[in-house]
Amino acid sequence: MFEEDIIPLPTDVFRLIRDFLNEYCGIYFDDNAKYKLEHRLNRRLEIHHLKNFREYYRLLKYSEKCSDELKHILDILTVNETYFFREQNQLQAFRDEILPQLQNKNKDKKTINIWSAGCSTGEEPYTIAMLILEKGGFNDWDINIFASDISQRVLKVAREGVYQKNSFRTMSMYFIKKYFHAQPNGSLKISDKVKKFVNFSNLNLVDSPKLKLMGKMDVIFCRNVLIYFNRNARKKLIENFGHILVEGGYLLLGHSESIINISTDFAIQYLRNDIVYQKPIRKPEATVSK
Amino acid sequence: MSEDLEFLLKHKDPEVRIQALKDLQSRSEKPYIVSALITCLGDENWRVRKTAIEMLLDMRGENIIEQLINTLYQENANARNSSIEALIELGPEATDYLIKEFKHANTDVRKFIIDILGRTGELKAFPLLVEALEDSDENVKTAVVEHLSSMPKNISVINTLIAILKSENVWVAYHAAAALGRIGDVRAVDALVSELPRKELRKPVINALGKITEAGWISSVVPFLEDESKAVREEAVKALAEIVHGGISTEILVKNLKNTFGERASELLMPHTQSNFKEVSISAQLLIGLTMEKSILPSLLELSVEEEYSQSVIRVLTFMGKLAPESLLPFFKADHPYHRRVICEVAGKVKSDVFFKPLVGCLKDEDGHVRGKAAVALSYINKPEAIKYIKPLLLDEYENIQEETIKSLSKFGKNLNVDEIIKGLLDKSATLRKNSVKLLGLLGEQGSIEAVGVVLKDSDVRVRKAAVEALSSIGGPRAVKLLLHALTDETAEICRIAALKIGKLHAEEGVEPLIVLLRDRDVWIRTAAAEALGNIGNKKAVDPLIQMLSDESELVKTSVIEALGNFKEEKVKKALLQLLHDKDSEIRSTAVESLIFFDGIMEDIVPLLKDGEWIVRKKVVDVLGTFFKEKSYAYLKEVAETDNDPQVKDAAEGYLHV
Ligand SMILES: C[S@@+](CC[C@H](N)C(=O)[O-])C[C@H]1O[C@@H](n2cnc3c(N)ncnc32)[C@H](O)[C@@H]1O
Repeated sequence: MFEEDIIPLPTDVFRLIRDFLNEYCGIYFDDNAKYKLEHRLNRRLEIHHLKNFREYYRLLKYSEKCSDELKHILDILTVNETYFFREQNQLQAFRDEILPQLQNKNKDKKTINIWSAGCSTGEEPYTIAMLILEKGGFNDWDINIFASDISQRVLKVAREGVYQKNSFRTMSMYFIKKYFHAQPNGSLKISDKVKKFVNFSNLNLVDSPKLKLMGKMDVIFCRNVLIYFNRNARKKLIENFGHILVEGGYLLLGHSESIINISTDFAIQYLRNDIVYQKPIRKPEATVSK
Repeated sequence: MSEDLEFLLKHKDPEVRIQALKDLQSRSEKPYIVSALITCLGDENWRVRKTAIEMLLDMRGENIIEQLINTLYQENANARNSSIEALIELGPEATDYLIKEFKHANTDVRKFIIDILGRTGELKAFPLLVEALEDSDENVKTAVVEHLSSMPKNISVINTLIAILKSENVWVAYHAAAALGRIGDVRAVDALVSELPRKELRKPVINALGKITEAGWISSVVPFLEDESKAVREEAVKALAEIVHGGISTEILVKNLKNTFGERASELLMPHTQSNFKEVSISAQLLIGLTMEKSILPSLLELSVEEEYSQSVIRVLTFMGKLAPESLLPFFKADHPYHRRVICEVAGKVKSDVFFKPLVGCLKDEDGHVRGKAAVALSYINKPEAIKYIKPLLLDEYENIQEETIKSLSKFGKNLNVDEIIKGLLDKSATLRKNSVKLLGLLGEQGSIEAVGVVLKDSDVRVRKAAVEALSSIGGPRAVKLLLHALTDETAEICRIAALKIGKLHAEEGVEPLIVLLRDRDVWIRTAAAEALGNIGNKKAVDPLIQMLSDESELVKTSVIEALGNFKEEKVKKALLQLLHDKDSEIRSTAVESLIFFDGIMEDIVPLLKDGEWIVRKKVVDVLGTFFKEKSYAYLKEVAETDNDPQVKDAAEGYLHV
């Protein structure tokens, strides 16, 4: 890009656009992100023949083009970094401590519902599926892994299930051999026996009414998503997670994410392999008598 | 408080206690609620405490602040920590109370108060912090120093820190240096440099200097690359690399390295590349590049892959490339496409003929970005022979590379053969037709107008669109005529762009057709017509535009408001003033901006300083500060003192100081 062609993003308009995006999807662009927005969105202005960012803001605020435009913006601006078997300790806690609990707790209905919220290109839900397959003992069970993301672009990749080297940075050959097929160009495709457990859908985590339509979940993985949100958006989402989880259900966040300062709806559980959040089980006498 | 609640607040199950707290609100009187909440600040369960804090914060008020301060004296650590947390959240509201309390407080509470004030960072608390530096208690003093740097960047804060820096007490001086570094203000440079002779202060002082982007300290720090202490040497390496990151005064840095160490500079730096601290090793690599030590090139390229260092690496490579361009040649064939991109970018900055051939080779690279960057670099070197090699990229598989190619080619100006480009307009590939038109537009030759005009009838929309843009950048009466035709194009977007361009060219002939387009079905066409009429500024447009203020689309309305700002007529002013009360904040703020050229509007916009939306208040502040200077002083002062939005407040303050 020739630097002289860049249309500048004034501070005021940056804030208007930032707040608009925050409202829409919870992601918060702090002041350091101004340069990134300015540069990455310049092409969008050119495409729409807009002379400045104020007009771009109005396009978002008023025009019917808004929802298409937001899709583009999210594809350009979100961080979709992810890989298989990310955060080993937590996965170990899931496999060795949480799964056995569920196996016992749900033994009558033989169903487990897990949600990977903000699944990006699918490495996370597929990892969960592989862990369940490895654990064994769920043959006649109904295992549902719901995976959702706001970006259509990443979902397309996730549904195709074809991955490059970068996605396998911490994965052992054992899993690669067992659950992937090599493609002619050197990439690897996830096998159908993993894929069949996972259902992908497009969902904005800030869209509370839509979230209400999710069924009850036993475990929610929402890792490395909240870090991009501001406090308000985090708070609302955590509250919604609280409604969606069954009592005693688990919420697994990324290791740099904490809800201690935003919600009291969860208790901290010290498992052997990791610290996780759990929705408290309400004992019958726990309701306040009127 | 009813008894069952009191019982439930002591229940052994935290869930019950939380629920009981939540139920308090509906069931008790305020004083009871507060006292129950304060008690629960000491609960053993963090979720109960947190709930209590949040409820207290929701209630706020003087009484609550006092009770929170009293809680600081309690034995129960949970209770103390909870009130500290709450007081920090309350921020400025609690500052006065805390300052008052400090005078009578015991050692522990003094330390808590310092912690809270430090975290809030209110300027008001600064004198107290300084005073507390002399506190009889070590812990209180430590707390003060830790927090000094979170104070706002303000000259009196800086001067005080400079005074503390000179203190005999190394420990206090150490923290003052750190604080000055974190504040990063140029005014501290001299004071910091003058403390360099104090051995025990060297590390923090050099560290602080590194955070101040300024050349003044370079010559004083360079000699410490040879200091007897390894920690100091490493600090110097990091600080000097900050000069490279900041992109300033590389020459001064190089000169100093040379004058002080001659050829030995790279030798001195080399061991640091093996440092266990990544930052030290990276800094050393960058500095070694500046000493022209070529063996460092491969590691620099490796480093360029990391986004945060790529700009610094490019700077160093450009520096090396200017002195010894040949040293970069091997890397045009690097394995990693990213390395090749970087080298092409550097070649464009160095602009040496030596790079001509390898860049031409890169135009065929398998990586799109390498091809694009090579084209751009060749345009900077600007040897006409490059044209024939670049041209094929007009048909590159990626559209953004095509765009870069068009711009690159246009930089060759007169050396391009216009007739040949015009031939491209007839090609069967629509992409080539489109890109040829674009190129003709950038070249702006009147001679190409008729040829471009023909393409206005191209079957492909993208080509027609490019033609409209090209005509507008070529300009002139003939181009306007052709653009007027484009207003009737069947594709709405082309009509819209043509309208915008006619406005840009201030073409009076466009007024009548544009007024008709104000009634078009398409929102974007109406918006463009309004904008164009505003640009042309013909009075015939005033009444039709005023009528458009009742358009159903806000997009159109804002455009009309901006357009009307170009007509200084009483009826326009009247219409715009009404919009100051519109329910939509974007409409209000646009109206404020459009009113700036009318007389006597200050009194009309001043009430909007109390608008609920920050953007409206900010616009009014900008208008007042820019156009009404002294007259608006009192208003701006009030905003600077009372507005609760930091950006609005800062802006007002800024105008006051001008
Ligand atoms: C860094 S990735 C994390 C992927 C995976 N969970 C992991 O930890 O590796 C974050 C993802 O969150 C998604 N995301 C961000 N905001 C979202 C929102 N409001 N609703 C749904 N997904 C969102 C992004 O599109 C992105 O794919």
